Parts: sequence; C-alpha cells; structure tokens
Amino acid sequence: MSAPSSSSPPVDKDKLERVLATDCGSTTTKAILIEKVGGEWRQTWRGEAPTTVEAPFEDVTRGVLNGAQEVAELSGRSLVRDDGAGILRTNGDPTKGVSAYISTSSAGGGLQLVVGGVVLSMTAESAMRAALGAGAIVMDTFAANDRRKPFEQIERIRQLRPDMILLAGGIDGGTRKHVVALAEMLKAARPRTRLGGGFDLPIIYAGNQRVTDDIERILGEMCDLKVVPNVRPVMESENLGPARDKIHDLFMEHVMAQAPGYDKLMRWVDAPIMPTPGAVGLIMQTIARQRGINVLGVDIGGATTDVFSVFDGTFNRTVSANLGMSYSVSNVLAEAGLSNILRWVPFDIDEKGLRNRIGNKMIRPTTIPQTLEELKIEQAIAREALRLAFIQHKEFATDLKGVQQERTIADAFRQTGQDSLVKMQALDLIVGSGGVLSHAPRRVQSMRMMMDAYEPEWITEVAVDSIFMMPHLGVLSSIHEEAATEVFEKDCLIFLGTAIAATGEQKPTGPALRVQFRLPDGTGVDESIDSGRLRRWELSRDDEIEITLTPLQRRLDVGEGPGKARTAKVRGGVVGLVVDTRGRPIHLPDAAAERVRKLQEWVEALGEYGAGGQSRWAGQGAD
Amino acid sequence: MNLLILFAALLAPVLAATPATGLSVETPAYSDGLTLSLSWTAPDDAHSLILLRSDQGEAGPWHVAAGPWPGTKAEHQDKVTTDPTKTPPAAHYWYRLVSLDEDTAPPPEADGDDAAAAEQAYVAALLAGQPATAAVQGTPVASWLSASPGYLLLLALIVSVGGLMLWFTDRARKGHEMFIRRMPGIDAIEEGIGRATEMGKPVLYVPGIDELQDIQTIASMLILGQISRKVAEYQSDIVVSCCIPIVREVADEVVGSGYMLAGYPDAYNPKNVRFISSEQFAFTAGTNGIILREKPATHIFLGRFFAESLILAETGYVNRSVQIAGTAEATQLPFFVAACDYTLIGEELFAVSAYLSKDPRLVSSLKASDYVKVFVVVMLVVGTIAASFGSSFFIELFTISG
Repeated sequence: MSAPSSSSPPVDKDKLERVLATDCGSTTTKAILIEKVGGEWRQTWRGEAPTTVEAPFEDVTRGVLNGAQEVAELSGRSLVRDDGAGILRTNGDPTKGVSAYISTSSAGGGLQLVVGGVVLSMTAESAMRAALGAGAIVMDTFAANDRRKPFEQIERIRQLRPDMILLAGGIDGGTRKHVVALAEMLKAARPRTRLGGGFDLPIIYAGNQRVTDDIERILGEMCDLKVVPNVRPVMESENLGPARDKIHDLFMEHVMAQAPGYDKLMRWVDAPIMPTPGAVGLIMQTIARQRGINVLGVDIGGATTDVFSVFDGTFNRTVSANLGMSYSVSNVLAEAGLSNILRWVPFDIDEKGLRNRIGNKMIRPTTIPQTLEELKIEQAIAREALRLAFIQHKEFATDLKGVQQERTIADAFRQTGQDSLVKMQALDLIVGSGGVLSHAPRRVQSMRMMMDAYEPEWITEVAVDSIFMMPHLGVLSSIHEEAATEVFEKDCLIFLGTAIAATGEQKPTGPALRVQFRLPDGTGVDESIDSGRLRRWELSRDDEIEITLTPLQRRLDVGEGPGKARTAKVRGGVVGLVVDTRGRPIHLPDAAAERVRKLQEWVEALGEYGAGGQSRWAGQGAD
Repeated sequence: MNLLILFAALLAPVLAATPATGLSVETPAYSDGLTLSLSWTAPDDAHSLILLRSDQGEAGPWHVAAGPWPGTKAEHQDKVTTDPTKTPPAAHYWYRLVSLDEDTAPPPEADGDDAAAAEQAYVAALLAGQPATAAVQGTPVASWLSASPGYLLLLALIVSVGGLMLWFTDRARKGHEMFIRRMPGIDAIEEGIGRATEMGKPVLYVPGIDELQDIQTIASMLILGQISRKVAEYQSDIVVSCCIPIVREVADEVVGSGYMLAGYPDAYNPKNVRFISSEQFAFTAGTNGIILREKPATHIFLGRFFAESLILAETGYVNRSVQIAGTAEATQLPFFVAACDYTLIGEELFAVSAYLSKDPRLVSSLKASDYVKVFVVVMLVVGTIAASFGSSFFIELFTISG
C-alpha cells in the first residue's frame, strides 16, 4: 500500500526531531511523543484522554489537545498552543513544540465501505482487498453471484448507509452487462451517507475501464463518482494502489470533513489522517519490507479481530467482525463451540458454568477478569477467537482465482485446491496486540495464547505491541520510514521470544526433539524433549545463540527435511526460548481429566501463572 | 435296418457283462434347473459304461446322454440341455445305464441327416445286445439359491450396496454431513464460470465424442445440467460442442433445463448447443474453430475422448483458457494432465454430479460404492497375500460356478 496523497506540504524528514502522533479511537485518544534521543528514534512519552467526537463536545480536537497536554506535562515540554488552536511547532526553539504532528482515526466506527464486483471470489474480492488494505470496514459485498435478488440487494444497500462505495467488476475489456447491472442496482438503491445528508455519497468506480461512460451516465448525477484504474485489469493480476489511494483521499475529503472537529484536525496534521487499521497495515508492510521477513499481526478487540499478514511482500488484511473478547464473545462461543473453548481451560469446569461466564462477559463488556479462574477462561476464549480469525484470514489470503494454472503431473493427484499465501513455515514474526494479549498479567501467557492459536512451525519470533503504538508508527512511516521502523523495533514491540516447533507426523510418546545450544553465561544445554511437551529457557532479546535442533523421529521436520538436523541463530525475549513438541496440529487428550492434567503440565512448564498458580498482576512488565 | 444288423453283429460278443445296480436320479442342491445328479453301483465286469436319456418316457426313444466312461465310474452330473433358450428342458427325464465290455464300439460320430439315424441304430443295438439298468425317472428343478460362494458374495455385495445407500440416504436426510474429499478440478469449475463471467466470454463444454449410451457421456450430461444451471445463475453463456446428433439433442434439453431451474429461461440460446460433425477430426477442427474465434474463457472437457483430446487441450492452452478435463479413458488422461489446468481422473468423473449437487441420493450412492470399493481392494490385497502363501480360500471365494 502506498502512502496516501496529501494536501499538506511534504515534511522534510531530515529536519524532524520530535513528532507527536495521536490515534483517535472510538473511546480513547492516545498520544505519543517520538523523539530523536542520542541519534536514535525512540518513543518517549505517552498520554491519553477520552475521545470527544460525541456530544456534548462534538469536536475531536478537544480530546487530541487533552492527550497532547498529558504528554506535555509528563515530558515537561510545551506541546499545545496557548490559544488551544493546535499543536505547537518547534519553529527554531528546540525547548518546545514538535517538528510534526500526525494522526490516525477510527472514531465513529472508522471508515465503513460497501464494495461490489461481478463475481464474489474475483473482482468483488479484489475490491474487498483494496478496501480492507486501506483500513476500511467492509459492511457488505455485492456481486452478481451473491445469491440475492436485486430487490434484496437494493434493500440492503438502503439499510447500510456506508461512508463510500467501491464498485469494481470485469477486467478491462471484459463483461459490460454485469457491471452496468450493478450500477443500475446502485442507482435504484440511492444509498445515503452515514455522517451527513449535505453531500453526495462518494462512489469509486474501479472496474472495466471500457464501461466508464456507461457508469458515468448511470451514476454520475446521483453521487460523487470517482473513476480510478481497474483493481483487476486482467485476470492474472490486481492493481489495488489507485483504489486504495482514492479511498484515503475520499476519507479525508468526505468522511473526515463531516465528522465533528475533523476539519480542524485536518489542518493541524502534517500528513493525511489515516484510518487506524490502514496505518497498522502500513507499518506491517514497512517492517516486512525493511527486514525482508514474513509477518503476521493480529489486533484482537472487544467486537472485532483484525488480522494482517505480509508474505513474500503480499499484504493482506481481514476483519473478523464477529470475533472479539467482549461484545462478540458469545459469537466466539457459537462459532468455536463450547468443546473447543473448554479444551483450553486448565481446570474442571462444567459447561453451564462456562456458558454463564461467557454470557456475563457479553452483557458486561467492559469488565476485566477478577479471579485467576476468570483470567484462564478469558484466555481460553481468546485462543479460539484468534484461531477462528486466523482461519478466516488464511481463506482470504490466497492467490488470485480464475487464473490459468500451470500444474505438473504430481499436482494432478493433489487433493488440495488453492493454497493460502499464509505459510506458517515461512513465517518469521508474529505480532499480537489488543487488551487480552498486550495486557496479559504475564507476557508468557500472551506467548502461549499465540502459540496455541497459530501453531507456529519451525522457528518463529513472537512479540506483542506494548501500548498499541502501531497506528502511530504506520502514519509516521508515511513521512519517515526509518524512524517508524526504529521505534517499532525498540519501543513498540515487546519481543516475547522465539517459538520452536517441529512439523510432520509425530508419535504421541517418546523423545521427539534434541536441542543443543550454549546459553550466554556459557552453560551448555543438550536435552531430548519428549512428545507432548513445552520447554522454556530464559534468554533475553539482546542474546543471540546458535541452536541445533535434531528430530528424534524420522518424520519430524524442523526445516531441513524429515529427520534432518538444523542449526540456526535465534534470539530470546522477555519470555525466552520455547520449544514446543506438542505436534502440529496440537494434540489434546480427549478425556477431560487427562486433558486438564496435560494443560496444567504445560502451564507449569512455562510458569504461566507463577508458583502455585498465583498470577502476578502487577503490571505488564517482563517476567 | 442294415445299420441295426451291423451294430448287432459288432456287439454280439459282449453279452457276458452284467448291468450296474442302484441307479438313482436326484435334483442337485442349489441346482440351476438344467442338471440332474445320477449315481449307481458300478458292475465288476464292465469295461465301460454309457448313459442313455429319454425325455418321452421309459419306453424311449433313447439318446446317448454321456459316455462311454470307464466301468468304475459311479456318478455323473447330467446337463439336460446346453442351450435352454433354444432347447428348453423337459418336465421329466428317464435314464438307463448300459454296461459294455472292451470290444464294444463307441457311439457313431456321424454328421447331418444320418446322425440321428445312426444314433438310434447304435442305441437299439446296445439295448438289444448289452446289459442295461431299468429306466429311472428324474425331474430337473431350479433352486432359489446357488451354493457357489462367488454368487453368495455377489449377492452380499448387492445387498450391502443397497443397504449402505439406504443408510446413507437416511443419514443425509436427517442432516448428517457427508464428507466427500475435495476435488480441486470440480471446485475449479465454478471458478472457471466466474472467470468467463468477468471476462465477458462464454464457457465451452465438450461432452466427449462417444454415443449417448456410453456411461461417460451419460455422466457428462448430468454434469452439464449442473454446470449450465451455474452458468445461468452467473448470467453468463455456455457453448456446447457435440459430435453426435442425439447427444446434441439431449444437451439442448439439459442446458435449457439448467437455465430454467436457475430462473433465467429466457437467457438460454439454443444456438449455443451445436452439432459440429460425426467425423472425429472434422469435429475436432470445428471445435478448435470455436476456441480460436470465440475465445471462450474456460473449457470443460468431460466425457469419453480419444485422439482429439490433445488437439483440443493444446489449442485451449494456446488460447490461455482455464481448462478442466475429465475422462475415464485411461489412454487420454496423460494428454489432459499435461495440457489442462485440472484433470478429473477416472472415476472422479462419475462423482462430479454428486459433488456439485450435494443431492442426498447421489451422495449416498457415491459413499456406498466407495465403501464397496474399499472392501474389494482389501479383499484383493488379502487374497494376493493368501495366494502367495498357497491358500486357495480367496480364489474359491470369488469363483462363480454351478
């Protein structure tokens, strides 16, 4: 995703010394100060204040100023203009103000789009990818094959009231009748905007370019029609950039301009305001590109779970709208099933009790666990929410459909279809964020949750976003990529450690993996780990060790082929090095007593809840 | 009369032999209704025995039913007719057993009109000059069951398939999900239709080049029904290229029904279902013409193909179309695998209809036949191992006789 076009004058990144970044969320506006300290970029101060989009204030800048003021007080530096009319700039005085102010926003529900295309799995999916990549929430997707009659589609569009509509369909020179039919359906629906009735709904047309005249004739008068290059000019490739950029532009011009106080905020910022998820996606892509790695990111919230991935440079984002830890927690139960949640609870609990606890969480979404049992249940639910969102992401993140394949003779006997782009064995880094991961009482609990949900294979680093700083860094990367990367690595991420797991058919008992390495203090480790175990060693992020992994079962693979040893350099984190011999997929005993015993064994192996199962609630620090 | 005198003279010296005793005729157990079991006590002095049979009564006329055998033989299974469609079995049969000594001449081997007369002369001479048992009556009766293990196994398999089908159908109707493994080739059909829709081009369907009664063509027609319905739902077009006139007529009905079931009967264009030529390569050239002129986005070749398979698939490849092929014709599979995006191999072709429609009856039939196939494969493996170790149990189990 390219950076959106901006009406602000370009920022000279060489003159940047101090940047204030805010993220205007639905409830909280988070402000951080990023400064050059001793030649390196660091996040130094952080403040937050309630978002003030809604009545009685109805001015988002009030919350921004409050957040900035908190940062100013903590840092002892003036950041807000005396007249309260904006963020103070340095203007040659290094003791006050900032070099640049940037912001993201998801207030008021973020950017909400309806997308349309001819075939759900082809141009409609390309349009959805463009919208999701731009940080939007896709409210609904229309297509010729969505199994709805035109009157049902029209009724639905009338109900939705999106911020804008992205219409694609047909390759260049492809179908005309389907695209025209979609446009006529939109014309009949006469969709209205969410925020205000005073302007026409923006519709971005990114379909068959030879039908542009027809589209302009049909839709030109009823909406603010913008024509951009086709998101799918040929079947074999996508061109999502222009549509994404146009979404950003319209987000600024139409959506933000209508939201209370955003007209002022838009004048204050030095780079275009980005939708929060779009900024997160941008920093993910930046990191993946700069480090040459594959990244998987997740943001698990109360109502939705966002999953981001960058594999071999291809970025994908999905929003699982009904998987979350509070408002959507009952939906997690419905989708995963009680038995799937129950399998992660490391103590005996009856089904009715578990149902009641989940129901209570849904009707009191802002409560947090008060007992250790509640915490364990919440983390069991989180595992399933993460797992289900990840499954949806893997299904979405595939190669383009409808493309001529070049399959070999061997492929003729394969029973799998199109592979997902998300390949766990090629994954280098998992980044988790969201309350249940970022604010887990012990970091090792976050690591276990992600290891259980994602089942990383071979060697994978695991990290969490310390204070959900990724949106700020995403928008920072649009003006200073290196600074954003530096802060991301040093302050944003808390590296939990490295997870190591073998793949392949595994015997349930007996030795599975031999691990040999030398700890930084010189102690040698040479250990054979049985199947079904978790083993943890303390190892800090600063220490890099060379580890040799030798499969002790001939079908196990650690990256060099079945049964072959592998030597690799790994680094730790606040949790350290975790070797997982539970198999892929993770096998849990069917019998309840045996399952609980196994879960408790894993809990103790990692020291998840401290001695005697007591949780250390004191803050988010490292173990 | 001359022949009778001649045979009587030849047989005169053998009058010393004694007749067999205890001749009895029974209907064998699990009989096919064409066989009677005879048993007797062989005489000590007979060199050989010959069996006479009459279907008129104990007075004859008699015909040589079997023999001559060595004099020690004591039982025989007599097949009363070799071709029951031409010579149906009689209600009753009578038998006599004649004892012969070593000088007795064998039955005459005359052909044509003389054969019957020669046999009658020979039999009359035997009865006149040789010791024979009294006539014994037997009645051939067909049994309901055959004792042959092969038949019983066949019966068990048929009953099992029927039972499994009913069971699976019942489960499917009660909402149990039936697992059918993924077949990327079939999944790709809908993708191919989507591609054609996006590109504004038709889908090309070729149902093979064999007659309608060929099982592969029948399967192809069933699949065509599903595909045309899907094409209609996408409001796209399908071109069907046929080699056999009657196949074209059936395809016309099938595609029309598909559009009607999808709710778009007016969108169906009968001109898109085309008869090209009954000549194999004229058909191939015509279909290639469609590929190159109309540039369909997706080609689906399902049915029985021969030498034209590679020509069609190669042309499609050059056209950059997505191609899905399927045939049970083993010799053509390599060409399809080499040139097409997806290939349905052998029996996968017959599973497509169930896979696409998810109809409980079709799916349950597929599941039942799969289970029988698994059973047969297991039997083959076990039988091979058993035979390798000298056991004939499995060979006998699969032998159909009697």
